[in-house]
Amino acid sequence: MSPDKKKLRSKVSENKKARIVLRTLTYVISVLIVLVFLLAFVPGFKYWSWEFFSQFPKNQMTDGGIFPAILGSVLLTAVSLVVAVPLGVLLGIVLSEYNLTYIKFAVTVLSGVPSIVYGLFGLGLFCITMNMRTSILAGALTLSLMVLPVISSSVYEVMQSIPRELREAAYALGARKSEVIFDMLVPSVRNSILTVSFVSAGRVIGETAPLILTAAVFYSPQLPRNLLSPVMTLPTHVYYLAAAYGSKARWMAEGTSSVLILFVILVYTIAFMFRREKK
Amino acid sequence: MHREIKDKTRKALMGISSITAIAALFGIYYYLVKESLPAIRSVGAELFLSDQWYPVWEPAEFGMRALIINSIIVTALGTLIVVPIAYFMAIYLHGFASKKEKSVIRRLIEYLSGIPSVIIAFVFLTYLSPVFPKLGIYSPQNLLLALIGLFFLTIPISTVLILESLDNVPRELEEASAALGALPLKTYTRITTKAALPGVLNAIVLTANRIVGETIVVLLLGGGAAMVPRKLTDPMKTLTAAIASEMPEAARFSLHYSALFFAGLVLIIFSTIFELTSVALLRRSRK
Repeated sequence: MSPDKKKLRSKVSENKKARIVLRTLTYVISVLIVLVFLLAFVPGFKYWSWEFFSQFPKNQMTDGGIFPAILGSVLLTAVSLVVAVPLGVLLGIVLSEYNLTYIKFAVTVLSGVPSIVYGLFGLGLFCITMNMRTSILAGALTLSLMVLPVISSSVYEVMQSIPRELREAAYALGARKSEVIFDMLVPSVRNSILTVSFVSAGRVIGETAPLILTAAVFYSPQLPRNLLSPVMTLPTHVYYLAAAYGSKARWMAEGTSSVLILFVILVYTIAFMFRREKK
Repeated sequence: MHREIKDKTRKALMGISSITAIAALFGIYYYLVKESLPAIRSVGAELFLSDQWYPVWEPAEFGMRALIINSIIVTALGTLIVVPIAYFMAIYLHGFASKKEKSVIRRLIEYLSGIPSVIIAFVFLTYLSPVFPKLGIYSPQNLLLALIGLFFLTIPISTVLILESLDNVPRELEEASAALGALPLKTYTRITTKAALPGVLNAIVLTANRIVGETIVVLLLGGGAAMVPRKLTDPMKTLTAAIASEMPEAARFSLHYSALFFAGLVLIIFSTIFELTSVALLRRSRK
């Protein structure tokens, strides 16, 4: 065998080895990620019961259920999406159809701001200055500001994927710019916009840090009366149980975290259903 | 006439959304600066120069140098661990995996990137943290545990970002490299990576930004000591953890409250720098 061929052969085997190493790495990490997911989801199953979903926590979180936390999470997510989706969609449209660099700049910077900083802002503006105190409304407004850049940059991507011919055809029929956008482009990507909305719901429902500052309480003996009441939520419930309660409340943290994951999966599944329908 | 009104309303609505974005950015900076002014005035340079963070002692001390350094340590180490592994996973998925394999793993990763951070923190607190004392490590929550939590939090998003930038490299470039006799590994790690470099760097910056702002994982797993860790198994506290754990107890408009807003100001400056770097990188990659 010539030396050249030998060199090539050793290179080929090196390449094969690299492939095996990379494959092992990818599989090991993927399996570990799934394992973390299962550890968060499965141990909580056995606590699922009608009582767990319908009752208040009792006896220092060692008994009862998580009804107020479920209700609080649903309310907070709903209110923040009611605010954030229309604004975010409109903002995404502006980003895509009007070339305004300073708005693009603002959205980019906002999208990187840590959620705890949104929490500080919400605390200062909504809770204190606007006197909403620790409440659903203050938390929901904080979360809606937080997802605004997420929604608008996804809507921007969606709008950019619309072929140019569609716009040109509409203009050729004598439509105005606002008509082209709202009667032609937006209806054509309605399903994608629904996907974006549900994905952002998944983001909102798991958010913890800003709520500690603006909306959530440790324990509330009654259900929220109106939007200015404080609430319990699923993620903050897991956080408080993990941070401040001992092993006697661990079962409740496990149960809550599995319910939270169920919500997240549900929301993402709905989101991707709309995406599939489009195809 | 009807058409006219409709046109105006739609324009007004789009105007409102644009103003909200601009107002939010200015509003956040305005509030952070305004609320941290009392701390800046009365504590001054000591905020940066002292490690003494005793906000509820008498007399209180507000030196947050250790908190800032910890945020930097966590971000640097976390990014350093996550990015290489994410890169090699992306190389495998981009070049070596079969089509089916790639789509299954990718979808799996994307789905699991939606797990809330509080849940990741809870899992490691429950299952891994009790192991440390058994190994003779005095602090069950520490820098190492926080880094492990952050790894699992950020590996999915980091991998997907790098994979996307590798996938965007024109196929012809890889074919040309193969035609010149380069084997796949060399093509992907040299040619494709080089062509995708701005995208890869962007993924690094965004991963770092995600880590510097992460709160709950660092708070529950980090151990909460306001000192610079000497080794990986020492407990530590970052800027984010200090805000989340202390703000609910801080009296309104107290010096402590103001100092925590200052911590937020430092964080948003970090994240703004990261985002601007990312914009610059993406602009370069489009050229």
